[in-house]
Amino acid sequence: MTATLQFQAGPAPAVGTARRGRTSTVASLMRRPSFVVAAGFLVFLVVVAALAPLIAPHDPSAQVLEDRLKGPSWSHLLGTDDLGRDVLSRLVYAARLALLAPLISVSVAILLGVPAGLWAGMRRGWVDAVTGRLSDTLLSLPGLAFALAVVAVLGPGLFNAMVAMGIVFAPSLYRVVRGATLAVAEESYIESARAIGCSTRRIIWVHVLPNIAAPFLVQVTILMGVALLAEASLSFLGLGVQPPDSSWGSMLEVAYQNQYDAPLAVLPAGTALVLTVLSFNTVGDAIRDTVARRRDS
Amino acid sequence: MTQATDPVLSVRGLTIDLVGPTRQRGLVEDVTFDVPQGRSVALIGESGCGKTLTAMSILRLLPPELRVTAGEIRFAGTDMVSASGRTLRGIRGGPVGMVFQDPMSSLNPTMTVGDQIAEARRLHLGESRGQARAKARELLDRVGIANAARRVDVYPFEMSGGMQQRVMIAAAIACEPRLVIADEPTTALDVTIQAEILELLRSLQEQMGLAVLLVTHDLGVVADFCDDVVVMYAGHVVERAPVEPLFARPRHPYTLALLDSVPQAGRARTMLDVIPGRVPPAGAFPTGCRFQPRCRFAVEQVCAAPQPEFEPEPGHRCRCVRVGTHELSLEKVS
Amino acid sequence: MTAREPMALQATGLRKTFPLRRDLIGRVTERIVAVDGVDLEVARGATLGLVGESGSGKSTAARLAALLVRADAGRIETDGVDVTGVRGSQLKVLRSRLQMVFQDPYSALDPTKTVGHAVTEPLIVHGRRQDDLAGAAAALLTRVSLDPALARRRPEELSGGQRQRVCVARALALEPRVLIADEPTSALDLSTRAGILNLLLRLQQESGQAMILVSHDFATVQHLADRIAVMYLGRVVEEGPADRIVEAPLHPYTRALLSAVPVPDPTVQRGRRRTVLHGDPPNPANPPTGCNFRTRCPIAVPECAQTDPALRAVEPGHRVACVRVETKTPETRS
Repeated sequence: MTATLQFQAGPAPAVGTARRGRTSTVASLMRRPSFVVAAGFLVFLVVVAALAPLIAPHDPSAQVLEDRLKGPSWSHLLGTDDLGRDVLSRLVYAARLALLAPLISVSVAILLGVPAGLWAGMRRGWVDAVTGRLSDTLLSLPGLAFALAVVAVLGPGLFNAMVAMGIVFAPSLYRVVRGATLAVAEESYIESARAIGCSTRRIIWVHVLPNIAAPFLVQVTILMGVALLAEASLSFLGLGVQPPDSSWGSMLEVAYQNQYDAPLAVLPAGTALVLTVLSFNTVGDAIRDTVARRRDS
Repeated sequence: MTQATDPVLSVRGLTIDLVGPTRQRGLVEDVTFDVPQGRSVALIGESGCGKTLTAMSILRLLPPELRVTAGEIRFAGTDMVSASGRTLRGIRGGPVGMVFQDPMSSLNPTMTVGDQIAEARRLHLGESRGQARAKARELLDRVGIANAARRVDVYPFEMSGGMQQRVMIAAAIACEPRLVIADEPTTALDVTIQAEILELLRSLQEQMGLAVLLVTHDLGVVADFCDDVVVMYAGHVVERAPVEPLFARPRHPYTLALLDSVPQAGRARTMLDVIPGRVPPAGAFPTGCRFQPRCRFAVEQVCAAPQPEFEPEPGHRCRCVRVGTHELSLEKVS
Repeated sequence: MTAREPMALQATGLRKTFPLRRDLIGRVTERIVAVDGVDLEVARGATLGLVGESGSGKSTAARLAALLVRADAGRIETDGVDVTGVRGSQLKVLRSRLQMVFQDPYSALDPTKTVGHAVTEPLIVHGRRQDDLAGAAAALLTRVSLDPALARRRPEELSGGQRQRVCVARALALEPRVLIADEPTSALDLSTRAGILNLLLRLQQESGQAMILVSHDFATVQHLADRIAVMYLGRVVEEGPADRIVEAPLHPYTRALLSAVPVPDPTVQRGRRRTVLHGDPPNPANPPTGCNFRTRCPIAVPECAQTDPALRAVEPGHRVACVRVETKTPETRS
């Protein structure tokens, strides 16, 4: 027999000492440098997207064929693409899609996955069984292939593609929400809420949702990153965003086509994608670690 | 008895610190007590008092961040603090058996009950599988499990909590130990089962001349089972005495307050004496007497100084300067 | 029987089963009878203690009485009004009459809400005192001897004892007729328990609050209860005035239970004659024929396997379910 001693770094603080404020989770998050940097980047991205017309030095669609595939210069800080368009301006405008596209698919996933997950976690029974099987079926489909199939049926376009991805993401969100709800539903404070006369609706809004917020948010940030990459992939294949609009994915495709003439042309869009996905994931990690640490203390 | 009168376990000035990124000193500080041969000693206190830390430290079962930074632990003459891994492994499960609180998580769910009991004998006494299993059957019988021959091959989850605890006890005594350390062995059990388990421990103690160190927070269990009591509070030993004098004439204000706060027959429907305040958290121990902020007899200058142990009566010790210098005399309420 | 005012709570013939096994289609094939024909009654201003070990069904019985779980059979009345099978908005109204305090204060409070929110939520849900929730919170916290300033804190900042007080305050918010406390002190430290017991005592004595106190700890129940009902495997085996039951228990299980609870006084405890039960607690899914207790009963006779003993009055207000006690053979006297 082996003995393990579960040691916790100190019991709960005495009342009056170590006082935690109302937004203590946010405060702990702000103390993490990785979170601050990642969240800061995302905020920066939102600002750039919002102020794109003011920031972009050129019209993103303006073609100046004499200046094709030029490298960085003072007038074109990141160079030009194969049609002479300013890469920096295109990058800035495409930031809008970089935020919008994941938002569409994650919203679809939330609409489909969260209510089902809540219901399955709270009520269980046959609802749980049915939604569980449905989600298992969806999970067994390869995501991108499914999206391609939907696009083939509905026609290419960013919106269709992102809705398809949303359907693909829904099961994973459903699982997370269901699992978290199951755990919370077992807690004594839910039974207490029922005992004082709360309706199931109130219990879900007031007591369940805030307590599953953390795992939910973590999953959402992961999905945002995956959605962005999915959009980039689809646009790279020409099935996502359609010209004249462009996203980072389609910019990558253009750069890829001209890689022998301008090998570094993949860098702007590629870097933007990497940084954004990394930021989403880092924010998710930070939330997860902060909540886990607090639970253990 | 012609046995030597040396205690089988002797702890002197034990101090345990938490080392690592957060350093906390004196989680257990200057703990001294003995477990004499064949007697049962209770280590009693509330959560945060350090009794489990102390018990675990005897067999050096603490995680690496908890270190013994001062003091001495001697088991039958062997220095446990500086002993090698090999020596320790030879002692654990052999001459010293251990019973933990929750049998469900302390027994290996993938091994049969018989194999777990036999394991100790095979490791310490070098018995063969067959010999050890035969002995396991015998032990199951001895701890009161019916159908021992069949139950030897049963898995822990097939047994009730009380039976699992009997299995743990069987494993602990498998190699005829001199000392059994039991950490809250009956806390998770129903009270009627608890009575059976205590009865079992008592009879085993008598038959085998076992010494028992019982860690508990239950005053009733102490009154029932133990010969000597060591009372701990916030990492300090505040009082040590044989069981009857401790209950009849407690010498430390904490012990007195604890006894007064427990419901007893004859005091039904009366207000109990509540100890104000809370147990101080590990990083915030007061200097000197750690019970001081909650003690109704506290006098600042005297109690903030380090409190040595006094012996107001032979065999009855307490760590309170005011009591030791006869400045304070406690009269038990009720 | 003299006419008396209606009981604060009167439940008769409560029965509740839980499914244990289902077949492939989902039909239930095996059930556990958690509560089997239990009567509970509490007079206004009185306290009923419900005692039993694990598997006795006491927690389920308490939840049935609190209308948290729907009974399969039985009748429940509060203040003379039949409330059996009430649902929907009527049930919500009834909630304000029967409130429960749960066992584990560490999980009974929503960690994302302040203490103030916790104690006033019942008022919000029932639309009371909406104009002065802060004042209501302060009053409730003061009533349980907590500093009103704690209303702004979160549960994690409070100790176990404080949290349990918050739970009591929350249960009192709607001024219930009956307060049902399920093991209110089990999860707390020894020295904190006294505070909660005093609080409940004060509620009893100063406010005349009717209570049902569920516990496995006889000492706690004895401290507060006027009447005690002892449960074993889903049935009440003995019930009567608290003092009588403790002084002269009649049912063999009650005697075993009382004798198993160690008294925190070594001289008394070691002088007691113990009735130690033998045999394992039966499987609740497959209870013994006849009397549930006969497999462990020290005075069982063959007749016990044939008849299911009903509760019969042995003296006014004192009922026992045992064939041997009825006949008052010499062995049943203490």
